[in-house]
Amino acid sequence: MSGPFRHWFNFRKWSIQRKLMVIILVTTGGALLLACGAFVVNDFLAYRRSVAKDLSTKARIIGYGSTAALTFGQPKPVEEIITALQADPDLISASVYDQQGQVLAQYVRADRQGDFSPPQFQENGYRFEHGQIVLYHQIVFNGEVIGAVVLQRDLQEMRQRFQRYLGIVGIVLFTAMCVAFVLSSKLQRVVSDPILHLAKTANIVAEKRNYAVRAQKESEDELGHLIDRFNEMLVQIQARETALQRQIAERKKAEEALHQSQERFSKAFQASSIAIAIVSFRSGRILDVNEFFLKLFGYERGEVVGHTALDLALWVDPQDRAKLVELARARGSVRNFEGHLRTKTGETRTTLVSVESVELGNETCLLFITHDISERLNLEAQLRQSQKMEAVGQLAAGVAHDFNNIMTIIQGHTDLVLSSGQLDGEMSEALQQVCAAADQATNLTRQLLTFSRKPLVQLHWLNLNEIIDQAAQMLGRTLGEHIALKCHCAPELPGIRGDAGMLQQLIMNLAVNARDAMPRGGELTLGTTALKIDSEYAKAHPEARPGEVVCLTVTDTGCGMDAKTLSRIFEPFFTTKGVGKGTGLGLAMVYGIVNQHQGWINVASEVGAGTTFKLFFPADSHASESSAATSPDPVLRGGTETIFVVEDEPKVRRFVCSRLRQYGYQVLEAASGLEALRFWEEQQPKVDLLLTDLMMPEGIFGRDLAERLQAAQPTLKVIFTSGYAFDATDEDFALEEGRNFLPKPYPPHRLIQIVRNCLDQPNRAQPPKSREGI
Amino acid sequence: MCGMCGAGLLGVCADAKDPAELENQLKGAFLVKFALFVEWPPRAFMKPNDPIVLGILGKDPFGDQFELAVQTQVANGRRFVLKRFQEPNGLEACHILFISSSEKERLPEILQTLRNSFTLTVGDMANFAEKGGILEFIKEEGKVRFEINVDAAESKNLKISAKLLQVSKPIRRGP
Repeated sequence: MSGPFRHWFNFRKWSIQRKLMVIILVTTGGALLLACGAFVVNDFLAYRRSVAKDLSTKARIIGYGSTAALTFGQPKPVEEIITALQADPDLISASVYDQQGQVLAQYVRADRQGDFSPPQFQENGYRFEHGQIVLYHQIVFNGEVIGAVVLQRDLQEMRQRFQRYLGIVGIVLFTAMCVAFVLSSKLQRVVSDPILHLAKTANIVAEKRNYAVRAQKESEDELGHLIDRFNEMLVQIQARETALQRQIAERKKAEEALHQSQERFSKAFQASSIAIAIVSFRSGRILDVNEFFLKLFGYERGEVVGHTALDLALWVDPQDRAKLVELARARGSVRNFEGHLRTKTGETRTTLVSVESVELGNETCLLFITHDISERLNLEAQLRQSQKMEAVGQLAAGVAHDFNNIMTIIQGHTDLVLSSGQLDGEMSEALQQVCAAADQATNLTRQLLTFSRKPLVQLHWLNLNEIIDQAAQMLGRTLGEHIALKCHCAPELPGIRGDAGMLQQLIMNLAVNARDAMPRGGELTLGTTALKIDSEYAKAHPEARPGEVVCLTVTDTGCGMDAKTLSRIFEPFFTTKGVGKGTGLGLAMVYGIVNQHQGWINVASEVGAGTTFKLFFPADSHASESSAATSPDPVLRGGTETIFVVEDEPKVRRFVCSRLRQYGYQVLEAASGLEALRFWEEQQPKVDLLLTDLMMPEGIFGRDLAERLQAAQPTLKVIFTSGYAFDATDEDFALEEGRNFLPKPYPPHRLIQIVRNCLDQPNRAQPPKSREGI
Repeated sequence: MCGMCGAGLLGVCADAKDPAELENQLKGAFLVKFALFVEWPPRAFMKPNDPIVLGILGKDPFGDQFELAVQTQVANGRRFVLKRFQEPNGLEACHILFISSSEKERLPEILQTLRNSFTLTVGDMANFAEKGGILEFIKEEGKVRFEINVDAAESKNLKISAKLLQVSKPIRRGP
């Protein structure tokens, strides 16, 4: 069906009911039509046959009756017969012909006599034409044809009959169709209702996705079976739906888990604080890297992915990589292969590379895990350096301790003699020389001590600008005429906690070095600034601390230093000056002083241009405590209290005890902490003041001793003395020079002063708390 | 006037010129045709295919062709045999006998001889039928017609077909 036809008769769109109806009607109608048609046609044909037969009979009769007439040429009998035929009103003509084809007798119906033309014939038989039947019958007599009969009959009757039949058929058909219509519209429900019901159910299933509905089965025919199957299908669908839902849920869970796992990996990969690269084994191309990798080597992701390590010139020595890969192939994995890698900026970093072979997807890949140990190596080097320094320091301190004790005796006794007043001018002068020499020796020792990490330090709150002022005054003489001194001090400089003497020393050392670097003259600039250090800087410079800092800058225009020299300048006994010209301790001391002040140093130098030292000190905004710089009390006062002296060096102990006794004190003595404790426990003496060396043998240090004794007697006062290094940063331990601390060597009057001061202090229940900044 | 189809049956018509000849030919044809409308008694024929004896007594008016023509004819499956007679002997064997007008004088004798035979007597002399002949040729309105003495036929057990009777003018006379 195409085009307009389809448009009118869209058969496919009709409802079942309409289709059924139409089918029934068409079938009924068709069958009826066929039946009626057959009937009518049959009747028609039968009628025609009967007519023909009738005519044929008549012709035969006529023929039979005409034999004699024809034989003897007598028309009269024939005429009589023919005339009798008039009785049939439908007969149009009857003609009898003789052998020659001449009409022997003829009858023509009245109404046709006008335009009668005898029908033509060839042979026996009849034909129907123009609403009439014409029959030709040869008269055979005695074995020969003696004539013919031609009859012509009207078929109008037949036509009328036929028309009547058609009418009847029409009525019958129509009636039948009506009945069929009525009946079928009732009866087709038997078929269509279940179908519609099924359709409706299917609709519900499709629209609402409700697989729980079931269609109702009404009959046992194919439709019933269909409904059964339909319901079965629904059951299956339902089950499958449930299973599917479950599968989906499970799949979702699995996907979720996978996703999480992927995310975990991805996050771990990306967030890892070691550089990881995934490289294709076959092609050597980098498939993926994590963030740390990019950060470490300074690349963008796009610059890395898809390239090989050789493309990026990552390996300083490509042979290393080849070796590494070979190892990986042989062993499957490699751990901590030391390799030198290049960053994007060309910087070389020492790394430990571990390689692991993995299967990702279908591809064999290598996992390159890179630990940047440049920092560590750096730190290790620094550590070695500082350990070396510490070792030297300890050595020096050890020497200094003994030395100090010796000096104490020398100075002490010399002082004694000098103050006895029994010397003449010459002897007095000589002894004074001895004193001066002893002082010098002490100073030297002090210098030696101060570059070790744990020296004696007394920190006060001070302003660097003042220190510089004081230093500048002295520097004028030290530097000489050919060097110009400039000062750029920041106006509102925050204070720092520091030791004024040490800082002076520091500046002095730096200035001397600067002077030696400018033999033909130049410029020395001292400056101070206030800075804020942020955490980024602190991370990049391990020795730095974030916060407010004060920066002391010392710049010269001297000969400068090369990188090699620069790396060693703070080493003790390292010097670029000739033998006898430098001790090699100056900068070591500077380094030590800065460390003790919780600061750090930066050095920048350019050969031929000059050097700049930047010294950073943490700022301190605390109001200064009362300066502990005591001026010597000219009046030495003694007392009658009992003093417990604990000192392991016998000569020093004897000296101290004798001095104290001189001033009227009762003196008890012990040679070590252990002895002191034993004595204390046994004798339970009444002691007002404990004077103890800090570092003593036999395991009990002065501090411990003091704690124990003070625990037993809280009112006990303590003075510590030491020529040794110790950890002054201990928070619980507060050393205040002039109060409870006497550094060796000390002049005797100092001893007396401090003892008196201490005893005069009001009683305190506990030792004073720590000071900050120490 | 070959409207007389009977003559056409013998194919005579085409040659005839003379009306009298034509008439005789027609009579001859009729003579043969009569066999078709007459039923002889069973004793007339021994066997089924015994021929019909056609006799002519006296002067033969039918022409030369007549014998030939007759031999070709068949009636009801029987052939014809022509016999000519000059004397009335053996006439009983004839099924059809044409008594020529030349035998006018001897007619009653002849008829008498044939009184118990099955011979169909045909003649064209006047009053032939009256005198006891069965078929008499007459002329009516220019056409050859015949009369039939039904009694005479009946007396001889000859059944004459009604059809013949229709086309003839039957006379019932005495034998």
